[in-house]
Amino acid sequence: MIEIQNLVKRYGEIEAVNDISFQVRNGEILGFLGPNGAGKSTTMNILTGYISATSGHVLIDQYDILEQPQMAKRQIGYLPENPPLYYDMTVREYLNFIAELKNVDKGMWRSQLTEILRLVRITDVAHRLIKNLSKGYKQRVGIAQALIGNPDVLILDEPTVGLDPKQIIDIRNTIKELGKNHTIILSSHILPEVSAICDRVIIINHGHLVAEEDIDRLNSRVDDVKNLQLLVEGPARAVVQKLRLIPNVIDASVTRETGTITTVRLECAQGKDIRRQAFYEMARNSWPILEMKSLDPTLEDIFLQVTGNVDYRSAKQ
Amino acid sequence: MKQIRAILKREFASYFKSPIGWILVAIFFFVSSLFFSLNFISSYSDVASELTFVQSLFFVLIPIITMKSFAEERKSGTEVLLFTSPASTVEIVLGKYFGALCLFLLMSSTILLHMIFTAAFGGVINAVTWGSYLAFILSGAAYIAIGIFISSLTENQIIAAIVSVLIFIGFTLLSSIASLIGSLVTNLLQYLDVLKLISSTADSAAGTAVTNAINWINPATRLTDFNNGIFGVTPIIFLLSYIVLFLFLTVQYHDKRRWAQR
Repeated sequence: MIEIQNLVKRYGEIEAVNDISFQVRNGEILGFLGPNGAGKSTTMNILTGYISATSGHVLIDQYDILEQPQMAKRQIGYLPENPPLYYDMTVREYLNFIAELKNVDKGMWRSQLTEILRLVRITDVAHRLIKNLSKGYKQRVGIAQALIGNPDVLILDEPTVGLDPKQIIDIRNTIKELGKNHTIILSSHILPEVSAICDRVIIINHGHLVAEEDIDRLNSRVDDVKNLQLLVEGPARAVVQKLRLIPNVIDASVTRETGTITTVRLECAQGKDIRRQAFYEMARNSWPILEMKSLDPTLEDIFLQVTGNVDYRSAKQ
Repeated sequence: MKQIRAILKREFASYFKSPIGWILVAIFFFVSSLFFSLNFISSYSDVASELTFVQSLFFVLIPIITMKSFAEERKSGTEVLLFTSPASTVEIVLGKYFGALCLFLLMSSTILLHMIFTAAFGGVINAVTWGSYLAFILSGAAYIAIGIFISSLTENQIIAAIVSVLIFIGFTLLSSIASLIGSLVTNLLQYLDVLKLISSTADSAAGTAVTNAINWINPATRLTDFNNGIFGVTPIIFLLSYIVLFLFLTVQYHDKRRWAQR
């Protein structure tokens, strides 16, 4: 469906995208994961034909985005990082304009508009000026815009950024719903988001493709990472020292110290559960554990995991 | 074609969603009508001179029409929408251009009203009047093409407006100093020509040629003949080429920017 071959985008000395190749299969939801500034938006702008690559090819349904842009662009609905909205229009006017711009058949448009309004749940704000809508609604109008013309491919750049938790869940559900009959590429710098929605994940960092994995494998790797956070009532240095002695603890560090209460972050070896040892160790010293919880792995942890211990921080340089 | 119409419609409507469209139409209506009525009171109606007067306001009116064209789209990020849609760059630029042109035509329709008045009160509406009107519309259309091009170079509307104003003032200045430059060339030739190899008639002929050349490329003076009732196809073609040239540059600039390496 979508094929990206050896994509390179150079800005002067800087290589924003460096030799990225991957494919997206029909009906797949692909997560495009990477920290801020990794080259996600640049790649998406190239995929949609907004900017051109220094070298490499993008094929959308066999159409090259540079050689047959009209045909290729017809297959794509794009939601850029900042939803491209005309604030002086009402939602309905705006969507009508996009439909004309995308040359949607007039007869079919009526029913399609109703369907889109229902799908992204903006029917009751359709008559309002976009300027006056909340961030969440603006984002949904942005998604609605991408759906016009019923394109096979949806490219969504950070669709949940800047939304409140309830809105995020709403948008995620909408995307899942859309995934049933669209091919979707979705970028994000939030790991749980990608694992909640996508079938497959591509991780990029500093313009390089770092890893490409099925979501199940990624999730099992994520489960392997068992980092703990402990709230212990006891002297910080001594607590850390004792914890470090526990087998399978890779590192212990104080993250916060308030009075006699110490917050410690424990990095544990893969697949090892050290909660019991930690409990007995602290109990032996009469340092009560006030709280113990496993930490969700950060994107950084995953990088360490999938890239096979290549230091994420050094990869940055 | 459909895409051009869609963009045109949105562009034109957007002028009237902010005060800008209303203000422009009002100012134009007020100023031209004032000039017209002042003449009318002294039972003298000359639409051609009215047109010349209003045309002298182009340097500020046209930049206000064109400044937001591409600059605003780029600033607000809606540009992405246009350039990732199935519409081609040519269609986008034409849509934007015709949108601005429609506003200008709406403004200019005031003049038609004055013509009707003139005719109703026994004034003269002849070929000269129509010629001046055509010249007026054509040079406005050319100025708009230039303004749109300038607007596509920046994301700051104010800069777009200022640069356009400066260029248009440049045109006006050029028309008043064209003869000065011509005589300067004549004098320079006479001064350098110590051996008197060139006759003085040739010297002044060269000066005149320079003056004419400057006036020839200057859209502000290209159509003065029309006001005198002398019509020709060349000036029309010339101004149309001006429009095509600047719209072409706008298209090229957008296509090139996608390839930007920095």
